Amino acid sequence: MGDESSLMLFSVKGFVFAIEVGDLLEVAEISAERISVCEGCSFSYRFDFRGNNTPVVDMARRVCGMPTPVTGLLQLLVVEIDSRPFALMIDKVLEVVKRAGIVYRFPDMLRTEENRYIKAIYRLNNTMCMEIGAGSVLKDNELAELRAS
Amino acid sequence: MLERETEHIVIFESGKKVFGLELDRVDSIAEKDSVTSVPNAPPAAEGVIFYRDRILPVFNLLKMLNGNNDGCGSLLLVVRGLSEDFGISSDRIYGIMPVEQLKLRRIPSEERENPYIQGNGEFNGTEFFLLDFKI
Repeated sequence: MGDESSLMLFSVKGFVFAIEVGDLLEVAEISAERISVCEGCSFSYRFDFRGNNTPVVDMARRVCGMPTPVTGLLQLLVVEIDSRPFALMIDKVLEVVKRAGIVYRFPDMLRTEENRYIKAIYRLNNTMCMEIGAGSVLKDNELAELRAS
Repeated sequence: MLERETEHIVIFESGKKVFGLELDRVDSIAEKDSVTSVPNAPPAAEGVIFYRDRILPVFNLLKMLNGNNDGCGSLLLVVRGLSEDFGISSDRIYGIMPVEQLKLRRIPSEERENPYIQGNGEFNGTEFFLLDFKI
């Protein structure tokens, strides 16, 4: 990859987020049949990714408490922490852009434990999107479970 | 120790209630542009706004004071916070008045029921809450 980093913009429940393309292992669109409810574990779902039973975080549930309906085609962003993959279930991939806009610090006054995954605010043209750190999307129990897997 | 008296108070309306804020705590007043919601933000937060080359958090004043959500307002009052500036929504600006005309009554900090209200006053027969944003 080149030196100039790129961001993938995606939406979840009307919010626009951005993630470094370099943080993505894969962007996958899978049918709902390929995903299974994760019984007795911290994650919402699991799916088979390159032969591994991989946990899935439902970003809609994280963002507004409403789960994504698991029907039809599902959009997943596969990322990793310490070489352990997991997926973020999102609504839609919007576009991939070069980092040409301005990045702003996320205001401390809006910071809560529940939105700690937002790293910064990125302004592209007139759109403001929230850049996320994939690793900080996970709650402590999810991170512990992923590391123990 | 003597508290430094502010000479002027900005009087404004938000959600059908009238408030006052010391002028030296007000950075500017502007038309409120579109606010971008932020997930999982504090309940009183409306979101963020791009204003003069920076990002400002914006709050619903009534929600901040008592949890009520009674309108957002089309004006933005940019407040100089201690740690960072922020915006509050307002419906109407009545004016910037000298303190001598406002019959201010300040409440000692240990007697305040709400940390954001430091007293009240009267402006043209209308009572208003005097705000305190030492945040």
